[in-house]
This record gives sequence, structure tokens and C-alpha cells, in this order.
Amino acid sequence: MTAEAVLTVPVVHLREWWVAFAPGIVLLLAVITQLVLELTLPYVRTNRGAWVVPLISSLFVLWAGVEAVKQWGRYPTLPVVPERGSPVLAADNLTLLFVLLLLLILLMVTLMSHVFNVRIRLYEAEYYPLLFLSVFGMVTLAYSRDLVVTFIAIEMLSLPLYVLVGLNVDYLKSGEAALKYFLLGAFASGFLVMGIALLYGTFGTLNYQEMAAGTMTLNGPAFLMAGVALVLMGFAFKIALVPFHVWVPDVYQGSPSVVTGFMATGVKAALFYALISLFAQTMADYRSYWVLPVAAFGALTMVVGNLMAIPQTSLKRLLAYSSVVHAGYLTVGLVVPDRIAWGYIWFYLVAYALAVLGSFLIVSYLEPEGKGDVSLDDIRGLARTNPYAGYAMTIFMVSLAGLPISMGFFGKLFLFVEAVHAGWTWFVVLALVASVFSVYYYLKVIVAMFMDVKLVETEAYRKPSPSRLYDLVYLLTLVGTLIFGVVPGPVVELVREAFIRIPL
Amino acid sequence: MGADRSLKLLSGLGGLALVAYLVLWAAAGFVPERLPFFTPVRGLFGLLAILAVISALAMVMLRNPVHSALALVANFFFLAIIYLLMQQVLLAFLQVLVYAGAIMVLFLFVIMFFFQPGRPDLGSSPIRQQTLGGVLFALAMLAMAMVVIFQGASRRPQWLSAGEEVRSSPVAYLFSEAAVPRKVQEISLTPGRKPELQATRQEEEQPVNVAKAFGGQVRAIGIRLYTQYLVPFELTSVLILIAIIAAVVMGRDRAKKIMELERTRQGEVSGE
Amino acid sequence: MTIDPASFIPPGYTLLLALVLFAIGVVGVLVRRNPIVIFMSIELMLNAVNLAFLAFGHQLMVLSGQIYAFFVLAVAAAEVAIGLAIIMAIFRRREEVDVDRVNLLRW
Repeated sequence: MTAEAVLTVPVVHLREWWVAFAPGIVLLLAVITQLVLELTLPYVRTNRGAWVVPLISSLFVLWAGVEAVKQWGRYPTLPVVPERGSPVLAADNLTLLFVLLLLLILLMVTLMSHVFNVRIRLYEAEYYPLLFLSVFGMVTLAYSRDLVVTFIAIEMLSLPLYVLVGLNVDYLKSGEAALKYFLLGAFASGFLVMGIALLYGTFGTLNYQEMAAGTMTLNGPAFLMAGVALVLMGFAFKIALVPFHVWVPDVYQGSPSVVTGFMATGVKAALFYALISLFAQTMADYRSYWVLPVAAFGALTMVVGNLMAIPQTSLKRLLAYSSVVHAGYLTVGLVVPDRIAWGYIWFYLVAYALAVLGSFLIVSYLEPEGKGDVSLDDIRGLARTNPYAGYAMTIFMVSLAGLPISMGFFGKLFLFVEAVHAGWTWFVVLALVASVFSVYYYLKVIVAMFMDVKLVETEAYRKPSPSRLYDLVYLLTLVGTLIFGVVPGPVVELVREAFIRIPL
Repeated sequence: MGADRSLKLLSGLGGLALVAYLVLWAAAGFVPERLPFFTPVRGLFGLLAILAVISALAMVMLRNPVHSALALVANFFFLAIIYLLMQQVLLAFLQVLVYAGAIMVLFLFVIMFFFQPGRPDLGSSPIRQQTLGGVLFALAMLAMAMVVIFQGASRRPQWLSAGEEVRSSPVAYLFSEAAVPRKVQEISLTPGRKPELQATRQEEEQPVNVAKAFGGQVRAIGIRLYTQYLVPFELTSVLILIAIIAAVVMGRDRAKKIMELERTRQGEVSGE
Repeated sequence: MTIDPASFIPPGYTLLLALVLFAIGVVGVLVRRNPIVIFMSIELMLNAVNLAFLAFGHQLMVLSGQIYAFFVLAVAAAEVAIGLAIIMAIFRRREEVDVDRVNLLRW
């Protein structure tokens, strides 16, 4: 056996990487650029020059977006020679939709971070590289068609987050939040990778395409059941499904508000797509193994999350539980064996991301210095002292509650209608009851802003906005939530178009 | 660690080993042929497995973190020898080099940094309320493991040819030679023939002759890593870049910066 | 070196050992308070995973089990670097870590 014979397996050339994985590579280029800029130009590390890096970085994000759009309808795979091996990285149109959503989230978070970093005056040169590396992990996760790559990608998106969580100097418990998040995260990835090992023992391979095509050649169905259970536990931790949500309130409260917004949106979007491509697409033949556990997780999450959200007085904790509940609603789309429902998961995530990022933008701007959090008392009478923030927050809350004239309403509508068509009536009824209950605590925020009178006013409550970059994010989130809340047609068309031709 | 405590520990472990052995024995229906454990390799494996379990339990139960770390190092060595018994050569050496050589040294370094002798040892005692829950959870997991292994074994594997019957005992094939895919088994059982190890699916085209030389296995894995598994391999390099950046950020002494920030804040407050 | 059946370790045994070690690791995470010992228990869990991968690789007589275990090992190393850095940062900031805070299941 000579080495030459083995080398007939195609070597992946740089050009092929670029063709198949351009958005990810652009993000890596952005990381290198940021690191070089931070090292060579002292100006960008001063408060005056702090806008340079985020602005250049957002150009890179737009470039990555253009590259993702270019791949639309072309189904790139890596390795490129299909008959020589199953793809390890691949992108269909749904993947690209999720990649574009991740890039949108990254763009808004980058623009938001600028002001935040200046305000807390503790600028870390590695902040933007870590943020971009985390999104690189998410994009890789979206492209991944192999469980090893999925595992590595989940680690790539989590490891920077462990550190970003600990960067909040405003909040004394930030380091402990980081430690808690890290230990529980590592614990959960232990479960995840044990599940992956058992799936390897079931299928004899970890490639999605081979898993879907192959039979359970080894070791029988009990291995599959245990493997699926363990993998689901790992995922449930990352997207915060009850009972694996215990870390959420503490960590969300403890980390910098901008990072919290990023965690609540980006991580969920990436991992829900991973769930779709692993369970709904690859393991479609083994639905009976995972559908009921997923539905049980979802139902439990909606009930417990809502109950826990009601007594919260901190805005960040309230939003944390709200994100838990939303993960529960999203599982409704996961159990529907129809591609269009997965597209509506994407639609829902867009609505959710806009509303959550918008609210965390306001939180990061309103939070009193040295506190790192905003309580419901703090925002009393906000609609009068600062109508700009007050009305925007109202719209975001309406969207999160899923009331009409907001994108969140259509997100829920499409998802639930699909689920009813697929025969999941009990699940949808539960989700509807849960969302009616959830209106209560969103309304509580709105009532606090409009009805009460603010006792103590700080400077921040008067200022309309601290920066142009901030305004841009405001504009994006508000306009998106409102316009697609009235005319969701174009986005729905995009989702439908994504499924005109499906490879594999 | 007190003598009585260690005595209790050891006797408990001995009892546990006995119970595990009896469970296995019962699952095999008390027929010796079904539990052919006592070849030299398997005897060695059994001994190492018991040692690995004992060292793992010691890691969890010992009060002093340094002792815990040393118990874990011992565990890694036992596992490395088990890997060697399974002919997984490269991983056996990586296990020693990376885990025992690099990772545990880091652990010990951090422990020595912060747990000086004489200082009240923080966090040594277990959390009482959770002990019961934790043990119950672990027992549930073990029960699940038993079900997985024995249930999984009761299903007739598809690659067995029609004439072959899986033995009636629930331990049927996972605990016997039948667990080797038939193809490989035939080859390996034929005397005088070179044992060529067949691979599945895309690996099938390139049989890897593991037996040829130990270096051959390392070499074969290296070639695979740079061809078939290039994508995860490259992504691992990004992961390590992340680890470097993150460790630099966390390792930097930010205390001075935070104090400066506090001072400017206080200055602002008094200035106003 | 020949693969005679006597030197073949049936994967059931190895897998059983892997799951036992994994369960011990889980208990360690849930029961101990010291963050470093919790972290070591997680390392034990990852080792159990490696053992499971190798058991299946041994069963199938393929190299991919070792390759996957190699990736798990690399990920574990990266995790250790970050985890110990986080623990160091906390210890340094406040000299002693507030142990009850590290109680992971506290609501």
C-alpha cells in the first residue's frame, strides 16, 4: 500500500474552498484585518477612533453577504467532486437564507458594539475578532454536512462567547456568569459528543448524506435512540430548552447587553438550522425517534418559560425568559415534515432577531453606568421622557408578543398554520395559549413605559441617540419589524423560491 | 485522606466490581461460553477497566484537588493501555502526550497557583443537596446504558447472513466475536492469510494494512487527515486560533484597568 | 501481529466501560463544587467519548474512529485553554472564588 494510492482522494484546493465557502472565508479575512488594524494603528483603540474597526468590519460583512447571494441556486459543495465522496460542506438555498440572517445579525451587533465599547471605556482589542470568529462558527455550522464538522462548529461558536460573556465590567458577577456558562457549556458538549459517538456506532459514518442513504448497519435501534437523546440534550442546552435553560437568566443578565442580544439571536438561529439539517432533513426516515422528544421539550419550554417570565422585574431577565419561550415556539416548525415549515422557522427567526436586537439596543443604551442592567422601574415613563426609545420598545414588545401589525405576528401565523395542516393541533393549541399568556409580561413593559411617571431622570433618558451607527441599527430593526409586519409578501416569496429546486 | 475513608472507598469499589461482574454473568445466562472473558488480552482489559473505574471514582471523591488531578492522570494512562489493546495505536500515544502531558500539567499548574497548603480548601466538600440527585442521575444513565447495550444486542444485525442466528441471550453479539463485521472476521480467522483490515464505504477502496507496521497506521491516519478529513482538520486550526485569542483576553490582567475605570467614575460623580 | 479472536475485545465491554466512566464524570460535575474538579470531571466525560469512538472503530476495523477521537481531543485541548483562563481570571480578581455561586443548578 503506497501513499500515492491513498492520495487519489481529491485534495481540496484553495480555489475550491473559495467557491464553496466564500462567506466563511470572508469572515476569516475580516478577523485578520481587525487583528492587524488593532495591532498597527493605535488610533483605532482610542475613543475617537473606535468607529474605524466596526465600520471596516461591516464592509466585510456586506461582502460576505454578497458572496452568499452569489451562491443562491448553485448548491456549492466541498469536496467538489461528488462521486469521490459525500460533501462535508454544502449549501442549499435554505442554508443561504440562514447564513444571510446570521450576517444581518452580525452587522447590527457590530454597529451596536461601537457605542457600547466607547461608553464602558474598557476597550478590548480582541472584541471584534472574537465576535466574528463566533459568527464564523455559526456560518460553518450552517454549511456543515458532517457531524464532526457540526461538533467543531458548535465549539467554534461557543468558545468566543464564553469569553465575550466575561467582558462586562459594569456587572460584578460577569466573571462568574462566564464561568457558569463555560462549565455548563462544556458539560453539554460532553453529552452532545457522546451522542455523536453513539450515532457513529449506529450508522458507521458521521456524514449526513451517508447517514440518510445508509441503513442502521450496526448495533440496532437502541443505540440510535440513546444517541438521538444525548445529541438533543446537547442542542437543548445551547438553544435553552427547558429543563436545560437554568443558565440562561444568570448568563444573559451577567453579560454585556450587546453580547446578550447577540447570544439570544445568533446562537438560536445557527443551532435551529443545525437541528433542521440534522434531524428534519438527514434523519427524516427515523422521525419516530426524535419527533416526540422534540415536541415534549417544546411544550415544556413554553409552559415553564412563560411561568418563570411573569415575576421578573429585570428587563434583561425578562428578555432572557422570553427567548427561552421563543425557542419553544420554534420547535413547532421543527416537527412538521415539510420544507416550507422550515422556511417559516427562518421567517420567524428574522422577526425574532429584529425585535430582540432592537430591545437589547435600547437596554444597552439605557442601562445606568455601573449596573449593567435595566429594571422595569428604570423605564417608567420612558415614553414621555424619551419617546424615541419608548415607542420603538413598544413596537419590539408587540412583535415579540406576536400581536398584529408586526413581523412577529406573521411569523407565528405561518408557523402555526403549517403545523395545523400537518396534524399537530394539540401542539399549536398549547403554543397559542402560551402566547396569549405571554402578552401579559410584554404588556407589563409597555404599561410601565406609558402609564407611570419617572421619578429620577438620568442624562441618557433625554438624549435621543448617542451615535449615527446606533440610529442605523434602530432604523433597520424598526423598519424591518413594521414593513414586514404589514406586507410580509416579499419575504414569504423568498422562502418559497428557496424551495423551487432542492438538490440531493 | 483518612485511612478509614480510603478503606471504605476501596471496599465500596470492590463491592461495585463484584456486582458489575454478577450482572454481566447473569445477563449471559450463566453460560461460560457466552462470556469468554478470560483470554490474556481480555483479562488484561478487565483489570485495566477496573483500575480505570477506581481511578475515576477517586478523582470524583478525593477532597484535595491535587489528588483528584493525579487520579485523573492515572485514569488517562489506564485508558491509553486499553487503546493499545484495541490496536488504536496513534490515539494511545496522543492520549499520553496531550492529556497526561499537556492538559493535566496545565490543570496542576492552576491548582498549585490557587490552592496553597494551609489555606482553607475552598469547594472541597460536595454539595449535599445535589449528591443524591447526582447519584440518581448517574444510575439512571447507567440503566439507560445497560438497556442500550443489551437491547441493541438483541436486534439481529443486518450484515449477518441468513443462516446465522444471533444467540438467544440478550448479550448475544456485542459481547462476542460476532460483533466484528463478518467480512473482517472471516479474514482474520483464516490461518496463514495476511489479516487485511477492510474499511467501510469510501474507505473500502483503500484497505489499510494495519498489521504491516505500527508506523503504517499513523501514516494512514495522517494521509486521511490531509485528504478526506481536510475540512474538519482546517477548521480545527481556526478553533485553536480562537482558543489562543480567548486565552489572551482572559489571561490579561484587567484589574488595573477596572480600578482606573472606577476612579474616573468616582471623579465624575464628585465633579458633578 | 494477527487479529485472532482471543485478542479482539468485544465492543460491548469497551462501551460499557465508556458509559460507566461517562456516568462517573456526570456525577462529578453535579456533585462537586470546586470549579477545577468539575472541569476535570468534564475531561473524564470527553475521555469516555473517545473510548466509545475507538470501540466502534475497533468493531468496524476502520481508522475513522481514531480520526474522530483525534478531533475530540483537539477540541478538548482548546476548551481547556479557555476554561483555565476563565478560572484564573476569576481567582485573580477576587482571590477566592465564591463557591456557592458556582453551584451550577442554582436557579
